[in-house]
Amino acid sequence: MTSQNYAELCTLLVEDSFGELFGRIFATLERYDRLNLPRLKFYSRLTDRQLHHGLAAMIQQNLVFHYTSYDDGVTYYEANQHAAYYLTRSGKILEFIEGRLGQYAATLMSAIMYLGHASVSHLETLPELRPEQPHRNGINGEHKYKHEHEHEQDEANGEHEDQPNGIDSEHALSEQPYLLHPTLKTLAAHGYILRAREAHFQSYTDTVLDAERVVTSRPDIKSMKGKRLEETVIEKTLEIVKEKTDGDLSHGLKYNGVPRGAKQGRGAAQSNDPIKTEQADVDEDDEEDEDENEWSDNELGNDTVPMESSLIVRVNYEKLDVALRHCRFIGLAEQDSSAVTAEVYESLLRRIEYQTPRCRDTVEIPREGEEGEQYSVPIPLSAIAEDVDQQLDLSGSIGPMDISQPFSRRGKRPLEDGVNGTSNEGTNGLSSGSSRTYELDQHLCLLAQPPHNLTSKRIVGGLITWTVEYRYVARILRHLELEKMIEARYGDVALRVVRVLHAKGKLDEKRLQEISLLPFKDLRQVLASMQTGGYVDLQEVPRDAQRQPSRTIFLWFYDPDRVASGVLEDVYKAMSRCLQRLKFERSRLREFLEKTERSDVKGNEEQYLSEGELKMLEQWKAKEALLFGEVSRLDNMVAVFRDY
Amino acid sequence: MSRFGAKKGRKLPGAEFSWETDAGGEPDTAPTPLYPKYNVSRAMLLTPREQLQVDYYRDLRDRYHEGPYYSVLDAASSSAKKGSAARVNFDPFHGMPSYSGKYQKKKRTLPKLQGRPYIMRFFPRELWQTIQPSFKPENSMDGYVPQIARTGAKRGFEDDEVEEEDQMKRRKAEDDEEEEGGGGDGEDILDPDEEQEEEIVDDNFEDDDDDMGGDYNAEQYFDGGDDEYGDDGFGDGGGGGEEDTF
Amino acid sequence: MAGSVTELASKLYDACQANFPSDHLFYQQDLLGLGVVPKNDLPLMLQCTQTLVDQKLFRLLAGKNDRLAWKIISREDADKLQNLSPDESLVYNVIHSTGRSGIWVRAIQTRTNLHKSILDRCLKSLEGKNYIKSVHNVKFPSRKMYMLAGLAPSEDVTGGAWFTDGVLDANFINSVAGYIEYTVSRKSWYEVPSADGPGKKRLKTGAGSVAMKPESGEKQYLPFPAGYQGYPTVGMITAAVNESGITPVRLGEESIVQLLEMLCFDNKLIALNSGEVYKSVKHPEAVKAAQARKPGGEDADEIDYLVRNGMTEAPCGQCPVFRLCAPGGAVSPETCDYFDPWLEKALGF
Repeated sequence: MTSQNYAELCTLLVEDSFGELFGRIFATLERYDRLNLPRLKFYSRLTDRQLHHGLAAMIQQNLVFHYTSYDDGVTYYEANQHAAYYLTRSGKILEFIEGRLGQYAATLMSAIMYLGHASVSHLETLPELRPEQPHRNGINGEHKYKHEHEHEQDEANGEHEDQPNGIDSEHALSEQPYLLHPTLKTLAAHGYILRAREAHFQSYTDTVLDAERVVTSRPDIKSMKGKRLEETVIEKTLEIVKEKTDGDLSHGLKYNGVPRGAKQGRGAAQSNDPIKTEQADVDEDDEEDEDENEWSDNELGNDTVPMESSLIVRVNYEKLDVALRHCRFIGLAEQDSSAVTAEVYESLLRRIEYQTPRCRDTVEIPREGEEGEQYSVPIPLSAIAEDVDQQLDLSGSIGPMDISQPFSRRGKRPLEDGVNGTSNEGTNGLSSGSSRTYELDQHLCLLAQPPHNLTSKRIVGGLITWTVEYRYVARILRHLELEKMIEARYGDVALRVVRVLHAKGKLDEKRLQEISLLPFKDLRQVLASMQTGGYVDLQEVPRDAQRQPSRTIFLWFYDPDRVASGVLEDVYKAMSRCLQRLKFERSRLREFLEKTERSDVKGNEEQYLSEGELKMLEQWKAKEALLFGEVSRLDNMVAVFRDY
Repeated sequence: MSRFGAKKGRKLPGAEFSWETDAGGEPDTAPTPLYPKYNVSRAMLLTPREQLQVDYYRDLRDRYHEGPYYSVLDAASSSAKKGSAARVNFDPFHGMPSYSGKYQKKKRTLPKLQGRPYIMRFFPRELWQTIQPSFKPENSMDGYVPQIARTGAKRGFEDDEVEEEDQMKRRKAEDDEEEEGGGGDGEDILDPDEEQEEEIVDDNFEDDDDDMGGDYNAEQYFDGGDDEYGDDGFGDGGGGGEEDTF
Repeated sequence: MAGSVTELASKLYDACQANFPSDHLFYQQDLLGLGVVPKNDLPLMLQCTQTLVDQKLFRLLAGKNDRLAWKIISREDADKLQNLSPDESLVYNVIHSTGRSGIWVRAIQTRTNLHKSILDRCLKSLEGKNYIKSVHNVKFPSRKMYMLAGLAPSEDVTGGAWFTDGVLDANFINSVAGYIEYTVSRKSWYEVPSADGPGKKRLKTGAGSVAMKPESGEKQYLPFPAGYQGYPTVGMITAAVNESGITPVRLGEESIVQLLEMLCFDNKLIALNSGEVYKSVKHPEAVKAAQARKPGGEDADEIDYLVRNGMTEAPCGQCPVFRLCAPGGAVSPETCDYFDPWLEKALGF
């Protein structure tokens, strides 16, 4: 069912985060699929105590599914590879949350991840989430360090006049509004967290089977027959499954389709901050401060009702994948259009994200050519116009329609002249309204252009709306990843050949040459080496029954589905290798690293370690970071090949 | 290669066609090196954004490591039981207890479950006692109906509100308990009392007694305690096969 | 009588040449319609045509519905043909019939039913007289093919303008392609007038994306809006190439289209309006930079792939022994030789 490489990777991830005991249990469950306690004990060779404690803790982390059979009352355990795999994506998710909703939200998310699932009342007790001692525990301390570090960089760049750090820490000590509940609500409204349900702790298959059992035992269904019975069972089963797994918390927390806490009118909040801080950002602290202010001003006033303390929340990876996928789309837009256009795109995508619960409805990525079209919800142009930063200069980044006309940048200059305040208002007044909306539309039209067709326009009820064709863009991302690999391995000649084969289907060598305009020698070489690598393949079409080579047509073809599934396996394997190497590197330095981890040394490295050791530690950190970073880059590929 | 090629003194059919793209100077007959040279690509340094992602990942991972669940299989030390796997793997040079050892990071062999609230309905019944030692299997807890007792059809239509109420009640109880008992755990330093308690149970003669039957099971005999083969899934089969030859 | 027939035939030939294009297919009624043959005397007319056929001035063909038809042959050609032996003449006619596509020797043999040695002799003699020539067909490089000496082989035979003697002329292709890309790119981007272009413009963007931010002194390019009509058409591009002087022969539109398609597959151009107009992916400066970089290639280390991903840069991505790699195996992550140089390369220690 699942591949060996994937199983290996998941075990490594579990072991890397939680130690060997979890790793052993997880690996055993992966190998035997589904086991009850005695069998698990037999295969894993662990003691009862180890198993009981291990399993309980793993269920808390959702790494193990369990299911108690109705027939014999025996509980079966099953590895949750999905959850294990998402351990590796946690860094990406937290970074995303920080960029979107500020650092506190990231800390909160991290806490929820750390706990597996948690009740609101338990979160209330956590020291790092309390307002009084914001920098007490190690995590925050590290962030603090990091930010200081980044501030230094800022100053070096001279881009940004930074506050002295003193003010920062002063601020930290001063009274902060109690952020937990508003932040939880924001996370919930965005759909990044959801209510933990019992069904989340058993495998999807079990949930479906249970639901089916319930449905078929209903008297009104028992009386049905044939096709009607089948259809009704499927329909009702899905209904029940949905009802049982649905943990959506965003209901009632959205206003006009926009979740509360989403940054709206960003321009207003940041008029004195020319560098927008959207991604991994330099002046996150400032941003965050502003977020806090926003909350306290706009929302805490109206809505101080805390979250239900009995509510149990967990991370909604499905939804976060949607958000991360959008980040990739934006990256695609940034590649070949201006930053302004990319930002307009981001506004559109964000609106779409609010209404998109998951990347796909099907479990597997549909085969190419069979995927059909899957449009996102259409977003009215006017809504995007509301969201786009009012100060964003829309006119200066697109050329004129007619080159003979003198190109004037309408209402563009004054924006730069006034540092803030009045002149901005004037400009915006001028360019807002219909012409601004028109310009916005122009940017979106630009995105809709080939080859990427990142957007598409639709008129719904007379209104201009914009959507994204998900399958198409996801396919582009997929091909891009494959092409990157082909280019790196076989050169740009190979890239051309593959694109030709992909566009034209199966071709014999002669036709292939005519289109690709490559000398036979080069062509043959590149085809042969790609065939060895499994990227292209050859089909023989014999013209007679004898199947003589001379009477056979040989057709080259490129099947991206097949290649992608092979590459996905390789990516899993490469991720495992990076983690294994990291483990090995760590064992090489074990003595030293154990020293740095000693409770007296940790946190006082300067005091206890020699200069050489400090350097060694720094180098080790860099190595570790690079290897983790590599795993994370590989994970980007997994996302493209599997999740988007 | 030479078996039928050399006899007739001519090349194997098709030998003149080579898929080799470029000769590279090395004759084909040379043994392939284990790691043929290739130009390792240069990795880009992490972007600030990636660095932040990695830092978040490491933070979380560190927290898991410091947290109560991280547990190893054998904490090799000289105090390990005689004859146990841990004893065999004992490292006489570095494993001896030393003064600085008291600062050394403690490694658990068992996840610590106490010290945080659990939502019992998410766990299978057979683990309830593990999670909450006060739980008695006979009587349902806090008016909570165990899963098995329910009838099949009913399970699909649980009323969430009732559950939440239950859960609130239970939570309250738990909170109280927490205040009485292990307040202030969740800190990194292990509570000495608890540690002791764990040590006692961890030094598990009882468990071993329980396991005795299993240990002398012929199938387990050959791979009992042998971690090396434990992970490939063929250990059991191999043991069985050898048995047949006796 | 015989004399008058010859005379009449000659008149008929002249009339045909005067009134019809040289490749016209004549049927009986066409010839009678010329009014040269008195009283529409069919037998007489047939006599005339037979005389002309004998003089190699007419070629007898089977027209529609197996009716008799003729084509005229110019007097020079007729002179040539008259000097040929009957076998040679037969071969010549077969080769003639295939026109610019040429004919395979074996096909001539089956159509003429001549013995191989005779055929060879005929071909040799015809080639010696410079009546026919052997051509190289890209589709069937191993076949020996002939066509009339005076004809230019069709594109099917030569493979188009991009083949020289049946071999793809890679250098030529690359130079023309490079020229096209640059030409198209200049028309695909709006160059901001330098007066207000560089310098002050500051795009309000995240720190990471500064692609369009102009460095001082660098030209700034903006994309045209969707629906822009000024992208170059195939005709414009063809004209530009032919005027540029980089091509010794005039290139036809179909050859240019071939190249444009190739450039699209290279992700350098984008076809719009289903191939009527083209725009470039990169703006002119970037095109120049990329083209300047290409021939260098000395620092193979620094190969700057435009795009990278986890697999292209992880040591495993291109590892030659990746398939063999397994923990605990002969090739394993622990014993791997590649990780250390990889880390060193990236981090510098």
